[in-house]
Amino acid sequence: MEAYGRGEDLAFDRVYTELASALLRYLHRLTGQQATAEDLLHQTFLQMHLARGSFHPGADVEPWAFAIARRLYLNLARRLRRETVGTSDREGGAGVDRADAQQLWEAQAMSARLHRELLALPEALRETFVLVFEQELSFEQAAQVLGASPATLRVRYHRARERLREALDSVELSAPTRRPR
Amino acid sequence: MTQRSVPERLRRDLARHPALTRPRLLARRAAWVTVALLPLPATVLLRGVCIGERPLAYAAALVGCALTATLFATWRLVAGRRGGLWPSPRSLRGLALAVPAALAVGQLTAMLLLRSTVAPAPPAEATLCFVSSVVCGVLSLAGIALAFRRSDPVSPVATGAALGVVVGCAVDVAQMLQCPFGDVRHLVMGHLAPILVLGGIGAALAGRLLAVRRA
Repeated sequence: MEAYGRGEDLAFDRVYTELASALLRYLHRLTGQQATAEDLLHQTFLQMHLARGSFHPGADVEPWAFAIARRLYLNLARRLRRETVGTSDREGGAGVDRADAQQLWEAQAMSARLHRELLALPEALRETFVLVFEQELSFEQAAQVLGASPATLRVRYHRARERLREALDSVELSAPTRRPR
Repeated sequence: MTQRSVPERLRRDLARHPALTRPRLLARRAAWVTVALLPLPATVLLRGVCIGERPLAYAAALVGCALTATLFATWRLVAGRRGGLWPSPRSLRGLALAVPAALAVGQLTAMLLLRSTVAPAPPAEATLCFVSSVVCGVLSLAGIALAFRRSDPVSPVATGAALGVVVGCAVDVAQMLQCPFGDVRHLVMGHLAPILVLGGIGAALAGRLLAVRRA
């Protein structure tokens, strides 16, 4: 990103390759819709391009990129709330049909259920969990993205884990591959 | 993890929206901020420095307090930046609240310790100082916010409020250099209240100017 900020246009490809998958996964967790996540990913990289001169040399690019992605998601969510168009997957996710319990024990359904339970979490808990557990950001990096203190995020992360653990009954959440710092 | 390559649609959009490189962006911001702050020295030069009925030590203390608040708040804003992000929202909110409070304490303490006999200014003078401070501050604040537009993805409202307070303190320096009055009512209404008002205007402006939005 530093090279891109200096004006080396070819560096954008490296930035995209390194960040796109993680950002898309993050946006998909936030929105619950692949098409919306793809659109927000597009906008995120466009904003990173427009703000490339703002990036400080030597700084960590991940918190900056995730913060831009999150802001675009919040703007979209606010606009949708204003327009009261509320038929997203997210709402469907909040009302999980408990009758499907048998299928939920299967591995593939387990993943889908985790996704739905994540979407049913309060936004602050969900964002923290996704950034720390899935994206493997440190608490300090996630704090920069979310504009909260690392201590607050530790509490949120713990609460999110507890809620998910309860929601998923006996299924133990495996520890993140990189322990949250 | 699957590696993704840049989609053609994004490449087309990048080509359609040229972006400034860091050296050019810094130069442009410096120019914008300089132009935005021009009204402050300009008013001092046009109207001249005026001590009025204030004892010299008292007038110097008022200016000194405002200058210290401006420099401290600017330093906190600049030094607290992380990567491409502004300081944390908590730090910005603290700055927006603590700096005007500290300035008020400093200036009112100076008044208690150093003022001998200052006749109360007519209420109209406080209104005049208030209005000129807010007008001058809004012009400067708008210029600075334009220089940093779309730069805050985390907490644009807190950043706007902090910027408003910094500009308000800078305006206070200029006003203190040319205002002949120094009684408590004039100080609070004419000089301290505009800082809070500018903080509020900064917070309101920020959503439109500082926040990251879709291109």
